[in-house]
Amino acid sequence: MFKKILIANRGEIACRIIRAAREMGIKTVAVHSDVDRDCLHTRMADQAICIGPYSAKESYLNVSSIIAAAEISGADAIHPGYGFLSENTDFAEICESCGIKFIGPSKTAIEKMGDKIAAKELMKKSGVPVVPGSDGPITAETPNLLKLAKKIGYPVIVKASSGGGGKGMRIVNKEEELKGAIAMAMAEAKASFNDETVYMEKYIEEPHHIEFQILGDCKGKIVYLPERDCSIQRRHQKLVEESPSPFMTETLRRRMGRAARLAAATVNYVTVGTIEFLVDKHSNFYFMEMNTRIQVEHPVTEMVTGIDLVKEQIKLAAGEKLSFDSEDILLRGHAIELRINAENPEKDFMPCPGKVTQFVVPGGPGIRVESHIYSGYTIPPYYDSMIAKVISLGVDRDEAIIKLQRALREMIIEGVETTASLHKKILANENFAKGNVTTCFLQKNDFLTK
Amino acid sequence: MINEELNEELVAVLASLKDTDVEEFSYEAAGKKICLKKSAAPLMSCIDAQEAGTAEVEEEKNLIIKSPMVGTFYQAESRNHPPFVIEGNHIVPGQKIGLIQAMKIYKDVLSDVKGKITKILVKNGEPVEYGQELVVVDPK
Repeated sequence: MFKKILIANRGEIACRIIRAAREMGIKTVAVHSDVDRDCLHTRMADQAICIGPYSAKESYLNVSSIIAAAEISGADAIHPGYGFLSENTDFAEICESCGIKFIGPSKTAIEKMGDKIAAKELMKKSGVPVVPGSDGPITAETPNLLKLAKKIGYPVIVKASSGGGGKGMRIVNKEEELKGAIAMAMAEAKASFNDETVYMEKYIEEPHHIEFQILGDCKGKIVYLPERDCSIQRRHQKLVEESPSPFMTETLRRRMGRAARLAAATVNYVTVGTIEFLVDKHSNFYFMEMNTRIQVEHPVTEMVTGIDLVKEQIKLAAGEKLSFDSEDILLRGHAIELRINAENPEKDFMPCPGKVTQFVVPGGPGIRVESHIYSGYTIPPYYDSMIAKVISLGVDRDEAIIKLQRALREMIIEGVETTASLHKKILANENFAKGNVTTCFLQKNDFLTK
Repeated sequence: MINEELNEELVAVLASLKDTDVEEFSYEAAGKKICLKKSAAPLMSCIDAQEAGTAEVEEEKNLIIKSPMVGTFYQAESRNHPPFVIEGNHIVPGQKIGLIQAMKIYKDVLSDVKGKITKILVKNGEPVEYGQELVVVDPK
């Protein structure tokens, strides 16, 4: 097992990893930018090293500084968390060449799943269902473009190959809109990812976003855990996640779980990862992408399965074998996670950095909070706006909702606007209570102000 | 002349304003009007002000060269070479005062100030973080 892990991340996920490592008797090194000196992860770790100025490019994304920090602190492994360098193949490779274990899958697995077009191609070949599409990059000048779109069937969606977070995406309903939409998506993709490659696929109307957590060991064993439903999204950013999905049946779970296992096995996946699917109203499911890292919403799976995913991830990276099978997993209830962001939902989710004058953390049975903020903490404007995750576990979905409502009443965050006010409304919504959640939930239920 | 009652009231108001973000304030009572504007420096007595002044001069006297990156600090090109600078040396902007190694790549640490080195705070081969103080320089 590792002796000392450096956490190449900040915020709540850095705290989460430090907690897991500490329980495993592993020393921790936090790295931070100069404005993050007071961030909780720097205080929680055994050691903290300032690696650069506020800009992520020069600190949390600066590979040589992070490796230097690992070298001077004597860390034998690096946990990348999510975001930043977590899905960066060069970083994974450099870690290995410096004799530092990258806590994640192999460089090859990240590479194969990182390119969204190539990943779909690969999945299609292995027999994992994928959304029908252009099977490769397109431009407005692609020969037979209109024919191809017609064959896929409108509406279609144009997406950036290196995309994420909803950038470089355009939904096209009519033939005459297609070329313009491609040009716009390409320009946006170029600006956001410095890569103008876009592709086209069938746009699934009002789908469910359902994903499967998988774990793989170095002996090639892969298990899947019960699904997470992350359908409640705003501009493709998840806001609420739950497990199990209110849409799920035993049969569909088994079919999707096996497809997820097959997807992970195709790239010889080791450690933890997530296979994301879109599911239409007829229970047809399509592979969307794989996230080759721990995810923000991992706690809902931990709550319903009792498995500590971060500890498992560390153990698997260290070469340990998986000690359970998918069939051993029993659902222990229903879990829901709310992402509390420092954003004003009344003002089109405008970010609200600033000083948190008071933070009272909710608690009690069935409530878990993951956060890096505290009373007096100043949220810097340079990084992600997520400041806390509130997770509940109830015997069933109704109880999980009641517990969250109770927790939100207890929680006090003063000094900044947060999405907590929106969550209160979502939890009280009739359609949410009935489990009628698709990716169009917020628009359909008038939660988004113009 | 402010009467005593008003004075007491004013003191109370000023005390309660001290820890707020209020920048400007006007107060009207007993036919008198007082306008106040918070200055950047906190209110202090004459003696305090003098002391603060001296401390400022003290601070101004020394300049600090900070580490531009995280890594291992070296005072010389190699073990067989003399150090780039020692305490007592006069340095100019752009002068090399040390090296920092990260991922087997050496980067020069250059002075951005002019003056005499009064103290080198880091030993040869010691790890340094970004922004860590390396050298104290007297600009005179």
